[in-house]
Amino acid sequence: MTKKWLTALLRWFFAVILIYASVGKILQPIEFALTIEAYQVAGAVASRWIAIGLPWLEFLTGLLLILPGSWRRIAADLNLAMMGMFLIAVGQAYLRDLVIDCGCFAGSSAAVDGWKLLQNSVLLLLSAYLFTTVQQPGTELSERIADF
Amino acid sequence: MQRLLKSLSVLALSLVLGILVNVFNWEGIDTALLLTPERDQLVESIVPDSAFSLYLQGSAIFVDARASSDFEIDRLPRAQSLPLTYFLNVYQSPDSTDSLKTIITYCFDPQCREAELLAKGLAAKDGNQVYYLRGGMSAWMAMGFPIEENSPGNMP
Repeated sequence: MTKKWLTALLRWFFAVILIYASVGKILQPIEFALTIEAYQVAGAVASRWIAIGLPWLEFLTGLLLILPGSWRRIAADLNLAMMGMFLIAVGQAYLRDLVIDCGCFAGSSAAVDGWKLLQNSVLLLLSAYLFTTVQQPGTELSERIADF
Repeated sequence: MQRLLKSLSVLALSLVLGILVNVFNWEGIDTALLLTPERDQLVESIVPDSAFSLYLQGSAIFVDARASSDFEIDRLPRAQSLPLTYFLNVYQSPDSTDSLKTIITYCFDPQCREAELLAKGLAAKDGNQVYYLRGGMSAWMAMGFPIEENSPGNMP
């Protein structure tokens, strides 16, 4: 029962973060493309493609996490994959001493440092937990409330 | 397998939505730039000699892409501070009332990519001609060209 509520809390937590993070990047793709390029893992053209596609992936994943249906499991898969990718990107930037902005949320500056690495690690752990626990909507009333 | 296919379909939909919205976003990425080869022609570098000539003619604006703390210590003559991280979060163009002036971005050494990235961002948004200084401030200083020290300039 507690597990169901925790899962619901995590779904909404990630949904809010992902949707909020996506909006600014959708509106400012040029800046986001430059931020990606600054990580020095993708070239200029690849960075632009990522800049226009990734925010929408965040948005759709966030949406699917809270909409009822079997797509929640897919959203949990994608969420885990994204958190893993973000951790790798931040980790390699940190190890290479790149002085860059993480690009996590448009309009707010957050350096890639040890604290950011820790944050991303925690997000990955939480997304892994969500990946293992998210299921089809339940039938008991309490489950259905928790499933909302 | 079905899960993988569903995930891929979400990925594909994200890309399609991204392309569609980008086309209609007046602050979006130029579609041509999504297809140009790696070494795109959006910005070019300029050697210190040429940059110095433009400076002497009064037709260049130097824009410092380094952190404000570095700008406080020293900078190119009459340079403006516009750290890349600041530009990316609170877009602000350099103070320039003359669109005929050339903007030259720089950071300290050749390994620093911030000047190039800042130049790309400015070129994508402004109508000025934009270059980034090849070799950075270190190359400028190695040529014996003047720099300003200590007194703060135009900082964000």
